[in-house]
Amino acid sequence: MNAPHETKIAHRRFFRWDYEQERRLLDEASAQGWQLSSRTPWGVTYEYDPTARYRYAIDFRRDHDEARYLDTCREMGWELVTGLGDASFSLLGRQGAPWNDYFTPKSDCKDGKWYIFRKLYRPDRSEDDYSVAAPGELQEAACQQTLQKLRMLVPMMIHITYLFLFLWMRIDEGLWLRMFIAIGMIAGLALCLLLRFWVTHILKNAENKTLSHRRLVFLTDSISTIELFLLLLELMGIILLLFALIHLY
Amino acid sequence: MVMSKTQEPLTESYFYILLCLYQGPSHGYGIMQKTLELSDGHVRIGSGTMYGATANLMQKGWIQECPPSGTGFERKRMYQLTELGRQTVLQEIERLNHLTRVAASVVGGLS
Repeated sequence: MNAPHETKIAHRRFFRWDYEQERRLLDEASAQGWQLSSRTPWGVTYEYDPTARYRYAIDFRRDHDEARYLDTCREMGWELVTGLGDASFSLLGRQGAPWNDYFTPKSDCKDGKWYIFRKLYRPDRSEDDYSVAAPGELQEAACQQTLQKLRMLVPMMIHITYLFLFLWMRIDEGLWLRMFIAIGMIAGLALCLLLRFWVTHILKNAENKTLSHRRLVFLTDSISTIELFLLLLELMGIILLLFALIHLY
Repeated sequence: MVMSKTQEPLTESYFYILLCLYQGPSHGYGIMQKTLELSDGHVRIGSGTMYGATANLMQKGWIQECPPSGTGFERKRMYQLTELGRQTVLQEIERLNHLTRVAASVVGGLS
């Protein structure tokens, strides 16, 4: 038997487009008495309270008037559990800190923010009462944000890697190594530029509503795959370089 | 009636929100309840959707915020229709009437 006010920390991670899965997990945990108390990039904290049962909603907003948004949700029976700046890529250092700022709402959230709300469960309530927004809106916003972050993250990773190699290289290092790094940097730059144009193009299409949600999700996944491929290439390059260095000395 | 420039058909939730405010100022929850009632339980506007819709409608200048009702935790943001919003909703009703008249002339009397 679990004592009241006992807490536990779960480390299961969800991709942003798996918010529906995450919501279901929160609902299930609540039915078993574990109530969400905070969610940070490092873990999810639950508090044991078998006397209540909540249903959860996860929403994402950007370029919104947060005070009015939170007021609207509160008026319609939603209690804010946590508001989280986009922190999945916290390496970028912006809005990386989790906080619960229900009492100090900010009206300016340019980068977008995730919100988790809860509502007491009542069996007589319609299932539609537990939905904050139409699913498509959220999905699209999340994907767009991922795409925009990718546009920044991929070039950064490629260039930091090669710049690091370049700086680390000895002044009298062989010609082929210089060539390898130079070609790698140029190829990386070209790929980054292509990716950047492609993402911009997709985002423009999405804004014009010529692209369906499903297609946007597919494209997001494709871009993630390409990103992974690029990183693997980089990794292979680094391993080759290490082998070459060991061979040299 | 003064006709504003031609516009795209309103979505169901936008139309209901404007219709609810036609009778007088109301808050988000009130609009949601009234919409549910008017649509026989078919149209349920979630809080996120309500926020987005009211933001858009305010941007278009069809509705505006007026002084809130209640204080503290019970405080509710109130919205009211603007003159432009009134015209828009009347124009939309006219458009819908026209559609049903056309449909009746083709299909025959509709019950």
